[in-house]
Amino acid sequence: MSISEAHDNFPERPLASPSKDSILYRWVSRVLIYGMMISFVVMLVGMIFSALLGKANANVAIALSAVIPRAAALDPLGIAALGVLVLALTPGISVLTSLLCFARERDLRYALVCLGVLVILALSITLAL
Amino acid sequence: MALSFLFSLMGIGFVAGLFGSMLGLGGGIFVVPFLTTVLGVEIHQAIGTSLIGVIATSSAGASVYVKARLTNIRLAMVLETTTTVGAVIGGMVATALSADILSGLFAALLVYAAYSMGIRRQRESPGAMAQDGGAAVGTQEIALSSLAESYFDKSAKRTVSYQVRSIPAGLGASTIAGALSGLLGVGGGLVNVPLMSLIMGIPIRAATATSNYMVGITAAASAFIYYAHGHVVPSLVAPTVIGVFVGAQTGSRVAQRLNPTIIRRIFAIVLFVVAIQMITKALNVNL
Repeated sequence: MSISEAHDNFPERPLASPSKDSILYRWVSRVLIYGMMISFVVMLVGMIFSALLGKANANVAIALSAVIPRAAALDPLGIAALGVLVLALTPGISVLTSLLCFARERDLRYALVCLGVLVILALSITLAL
Repeated sequence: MALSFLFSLMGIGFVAGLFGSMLGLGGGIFVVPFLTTVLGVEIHQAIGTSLIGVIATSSAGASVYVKARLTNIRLAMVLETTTTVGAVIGGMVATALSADILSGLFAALLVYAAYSMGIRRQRESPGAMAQDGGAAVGTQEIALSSLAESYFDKSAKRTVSYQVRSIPAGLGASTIAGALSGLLGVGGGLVNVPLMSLIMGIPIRAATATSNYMVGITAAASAFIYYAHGHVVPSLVAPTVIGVFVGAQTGSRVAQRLNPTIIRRIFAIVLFVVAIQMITKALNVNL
């Protein structure tokens, strides 16, 4: 089923009593959907400008450190790369969101687990810089 | 020329997402062979593209499952501690391997996927326990493990509660899933879902939902390794990912109208044929 149908068929489950995890699940869901939507809009803008300027088939990789400067300079490929970067960062931001929610609930065990995952993701990003 | 290339990528992505969604496999397993065999994209770039596509479909699906509390976020985080390590290692190994070797490895994965679709059927975990919504009996015992969870099954109109077992085995297998994802650009769901449902005692719906969330994080871990080696090309990734997303949304609607058994058997044959093509290409054999 489509995302919209799925959101209709799987509404946020009403709870008989307030749950400390409600905030966790709500915010992680929001981060995922909004991160994806923002990245798609940015990628589309970059793609359209690239096509209009005849750069759509430019088989050029952009270094991670150059994405933001090129996007700021309104380079179409830089804008498309920024959209890709936002999408690639979305799962990491969801993990960070989980860490903050667990910390807020004083669930330090899982906050530390999330921190461990973030460290590995950060290591991966550092290798790319 | 530029527009036709862009539309070709979106079309490839659409078909990959469509097939993947109809088969519950995700687009990754189709994106790589389609990009390499149809458009001649270099396999490392195809894998980098596929990983970003996995993040897109994961984010879309997981946003729904997380909201519905089908996803076990705690379990996902625990397993991701080893999955992401495997993914980073897999990505580093892949970027050091030649295109021919990677093609051969991917072909082997396609054969396994074809076998899984054509023959094996997923079984519901015996560890799932049904509980009437609101009933208090047994909740204290179920709640002892911090990874225990429950979700409301809308179709069955009941709360399904479960405990998680075999954590060490789960962590070990998750490392393999992560390595597979980083090495070949697939989501890892081929390993995650059977692992969670058959070994860890998680009901299939929760296992699928949790795996769906995990594969995005796993793909992100190795995607940056591919970034570092210049294998994430925006002009390839952006149109393909958008095509995959639209295809996946379409596939989820189309699949409901088709016989699932027939679909799986047809695509098992398709995957097998594509696997043969990749193997012959890797071995430089002309058939």
